[in-house]
Amino acid sequence: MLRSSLWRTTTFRLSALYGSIYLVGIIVLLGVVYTAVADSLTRRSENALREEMRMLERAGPAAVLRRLESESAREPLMRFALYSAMGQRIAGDSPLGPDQIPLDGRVRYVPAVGPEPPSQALAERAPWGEILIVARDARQLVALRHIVLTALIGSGAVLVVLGVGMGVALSLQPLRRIQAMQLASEAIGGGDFTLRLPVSRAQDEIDALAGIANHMMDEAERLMLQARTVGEGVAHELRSPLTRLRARLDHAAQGFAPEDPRRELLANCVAEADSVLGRFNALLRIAALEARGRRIGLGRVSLSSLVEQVGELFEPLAAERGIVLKLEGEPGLEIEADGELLFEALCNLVDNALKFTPAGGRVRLRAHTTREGPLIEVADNGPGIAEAERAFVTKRFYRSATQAGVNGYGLGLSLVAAVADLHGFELTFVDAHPGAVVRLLCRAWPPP
Amino acid sequence: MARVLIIEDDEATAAEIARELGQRGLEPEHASTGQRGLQRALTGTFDAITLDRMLPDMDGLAVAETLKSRGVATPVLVISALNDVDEKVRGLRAGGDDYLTKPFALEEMVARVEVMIRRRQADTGRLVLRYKDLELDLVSHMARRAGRDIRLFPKESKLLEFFLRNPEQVLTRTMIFQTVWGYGFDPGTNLIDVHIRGLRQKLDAPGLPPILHTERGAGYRLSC
Repeated sequence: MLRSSLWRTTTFRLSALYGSIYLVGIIVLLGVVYTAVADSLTRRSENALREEMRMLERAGPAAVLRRLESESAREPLMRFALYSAMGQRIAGDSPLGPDQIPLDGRVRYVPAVGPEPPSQALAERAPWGEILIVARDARQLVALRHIVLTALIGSGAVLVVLGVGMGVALSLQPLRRIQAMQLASEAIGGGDFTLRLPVSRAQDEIDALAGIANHMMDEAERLMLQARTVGEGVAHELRSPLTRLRARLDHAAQGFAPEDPRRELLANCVAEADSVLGRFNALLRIAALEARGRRIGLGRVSLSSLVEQVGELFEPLAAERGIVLKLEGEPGLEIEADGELLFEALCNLVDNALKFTPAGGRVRLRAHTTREGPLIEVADNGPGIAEAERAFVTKRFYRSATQAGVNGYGLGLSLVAAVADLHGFELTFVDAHPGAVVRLLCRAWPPP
Repeated sequence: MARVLIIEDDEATAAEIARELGQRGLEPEHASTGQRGLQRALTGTFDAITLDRMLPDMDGLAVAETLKSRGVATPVLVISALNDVDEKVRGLRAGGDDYLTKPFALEEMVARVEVMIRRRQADTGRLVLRYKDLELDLVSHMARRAGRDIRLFPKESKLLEFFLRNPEQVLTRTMIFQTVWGYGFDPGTNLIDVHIRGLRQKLDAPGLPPILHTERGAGYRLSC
């Protein structure tokens, strides 16, 4: 992750931009230096050739041969040739001829031919008509240019490598810090609200951002705690007086004769109080589950025996409602889970399925292995869950529009979602046409 | 008369518990600190103790542990906060004690105290349980009422066993679910009702008075 995201960091991008400008600058600079040095070397060599040519011309037709020999002896790098006006070779140690070099007084570069080294050569017609050729061994010049070029490219490469290296090094440091923040944020997102983003002593802009985010999280945690404690507090505070109210209503109901309509009325009040208490209990239970964070009692749970137990518990209820409860537990299938919580979740799912399936329907509880992992499925052939409602069914107090006339506090699936969340299991709802399938995918937890 | 010690630092709660226990014909006594409660409990003259887990001077569980280590066998009902139920608290049920989470219905609390007191007095070694014209053979899962043999499923047998061990005693749905199924959450009214109805159908024959009664909003009672 570090390597791939390196390219996306601001520091690295800036470094890369500066690096490329710097690289172009270096290339231009080195190019100028090279051209200047090479030019100067060439010009010096050309000047030497012209100087020789002038000396030979000054010697005149009578002395030119002698002069040629003495110069040849004095200057080991220089070679000469003398041709007649008609182009016939008269003397000299250079193999070059007037057919190879135009007689325009400009210095030419003659590449190496056979054993002859490359050279710079100048050919001119002397005032007395004969043709003079002066050549200078160019090997030294070429070697010098080569040395200069190599030196420049070498130092350029070192500069570029250093620049890129520094860019990477400079971006790695902030990248590591951002990575630490990412890990912390993920853990916080995972439910550990006690964690905060790391803040260094540098007090730079990253720290400023982390500080702001931490402050936001403090506030969010405070509000969440407040909301939770208010909700729990309300449920908590109201439960005792409600229980007393219920007891008194019940007591009052006992005071009337069985056929008295007031008794019926009071009995209905008791039932209402019971339903309110039921909601409070469910709310408190979910709050308690959520407050547990990831601290759950994991152990090996046999899914087939769990399916069997749930089946045994719900069999009479299903039979009474005229629904066939089918159980399919793959033998020997075990997962890591909190057995009691998982049992409670499955009870809620089966209870829900039984509620929404009309008499004569089918509910199937199945646990089996799939490619993605152990899967628990509760399928029914009731009205199903409309696509638009699927995301909401796990929200507290959500009750489907199709649920009219069905008992329930709308908290069952929130509890299942809370249990799935605690385990890191994946809860999905599928419309099975007809009916709904609730799938609980029990991936290994903690995830590998 | 059975005596119950209430170890609870909150005066209002203690008074409520005491009043409810008094109404059920039990004799309550209140201790407001763990030390004081421990002192009183060590006399061994109580039939049951209700113990708040969060006491100002010590952990309620420490009181319970000290009592056991000193050989006091009085059953203890630990009252714990909802999010404070750990393995230690759950373990209480295995040892003849019990726990209850706050807030609780007073009826539930009293029902549990009464069951604990009765369990202590009952002879648990018996293999056949009897109440009036009803009996249950714990080995063969066979019940018999008014001379008629009734075959029961294992769960039904366990359910009836719980009632027969606590005759004429209100048993709440959560208590039944905990004892018979072994799970500690609230299963909802309907589910247990259905199982009770099934058992009732087997036990009641034409001409016989009903023996399993529904106590509205509280639970069920075995009586004739």
